Amino acid sequence: MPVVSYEQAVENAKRIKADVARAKIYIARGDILKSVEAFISALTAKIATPMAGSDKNVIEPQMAEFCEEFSNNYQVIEFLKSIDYNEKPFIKFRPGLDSKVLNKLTAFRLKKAAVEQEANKAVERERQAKLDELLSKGKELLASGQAAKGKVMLKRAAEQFGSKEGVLSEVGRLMLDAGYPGDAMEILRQAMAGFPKDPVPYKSYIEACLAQGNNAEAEEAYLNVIKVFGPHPQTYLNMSKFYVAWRKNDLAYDYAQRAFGMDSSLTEAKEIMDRFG
Amino acid sequence: MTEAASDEDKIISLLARMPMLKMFEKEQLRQVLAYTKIRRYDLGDTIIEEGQSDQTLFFLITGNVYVVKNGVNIGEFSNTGDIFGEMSIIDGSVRSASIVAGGKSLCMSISASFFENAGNEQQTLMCQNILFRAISQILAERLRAMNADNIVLRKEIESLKSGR
Repeated sequence: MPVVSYEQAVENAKRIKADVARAKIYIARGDILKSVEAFISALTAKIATPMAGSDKNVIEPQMAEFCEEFSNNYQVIEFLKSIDYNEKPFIKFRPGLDSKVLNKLTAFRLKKAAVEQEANKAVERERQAKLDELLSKGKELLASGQAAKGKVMLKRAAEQFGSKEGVLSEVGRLMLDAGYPGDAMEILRQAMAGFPKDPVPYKSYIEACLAQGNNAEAEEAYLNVIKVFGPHPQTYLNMSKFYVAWRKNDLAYDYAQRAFGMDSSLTEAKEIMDRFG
Repeated sequence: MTEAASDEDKIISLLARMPMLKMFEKEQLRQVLAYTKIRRYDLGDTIIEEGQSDQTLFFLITGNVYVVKNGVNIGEFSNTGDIFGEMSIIDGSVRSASIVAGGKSLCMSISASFFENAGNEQQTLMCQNILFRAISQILAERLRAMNADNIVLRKEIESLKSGR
């Protein structure tokens, strides 16, 4: 038994009682893992603390009571059944055999966490398969000229999986590539709002604006890119080229100059400057 | 064939998969079974208890086991042939952590006394052969893990040196 000071022993006893109480509250609420964690904390402290007298007389019956409650808990029983564990009771408190209960609960916690993690992975795999199916079917339908069906499929993917990074952006790109820039813009706007730090939807959005002939919207999108991601020579060069196409020569010159000022290896920027300077 | 015999055959075929027992013939593996114990565990069963001083070496046949200390998981064994409990055989120290079953698990255990004298010279040699291979396997695995760690550390040092 480890040696601890009297003060430490008193402190530990308080902590053990509080942990057991927490473990009981959690199990009553159905939060099995938190309940186990609290009880493990209590057991660890108990093993490290020599205990006698009133503390021992209070704590040990409380621990025994918890073990009984735990072993009879419906969720615990169901979980143990699911892993083909049939021995009953799962834990029984016996004074002096704290470490056996501690090991048993530690294994329970690890196993339950692993099973839950595996279940989450399975759900995630299923969701990914469903998403892949919607995207590939939507793409296929659009390519075969069944626009309405294809759009429905892709919009469903956006609705159901839009909270996952990259999905809205991909749906927008597919719409754009299939020749539906209006639909693409709608989806890409959601992508930029939801994931402002992802650069991909901005690029597609600008392309969609240009495909729609909506230069004002494209200009606004470019300015937004600079606002979100900061000045970049390539962005300035792209803007300059955009203004050349829009026949706004003074702006084309201005942005070419900014691009060249940041990166003198951009010969295209120099050419635009020479042309409109 | 009786159920017990069939069970023994199953265990022998599992033992034959262990890297360190691969060179043994079926009959030799049957002999191995004679001076080892096959133990079955279920979730939470304590296989090795921290602080105890027994000298038994364990080989995992099926299932998985957790290495735990004060209710905290510090490792796991889950491959057929994984060895644990070797430290107390090597230096006679007490168990530094507990080993707890992570579910239905089957282990083969061999007491240190068999490595000294398993009955006759041939059996003792066989036991020592197993011990030698077990220790070699552990050393090789640890060396491999250390090399992998070294590579990671070297890369980190390089990147710190170059200021990246």
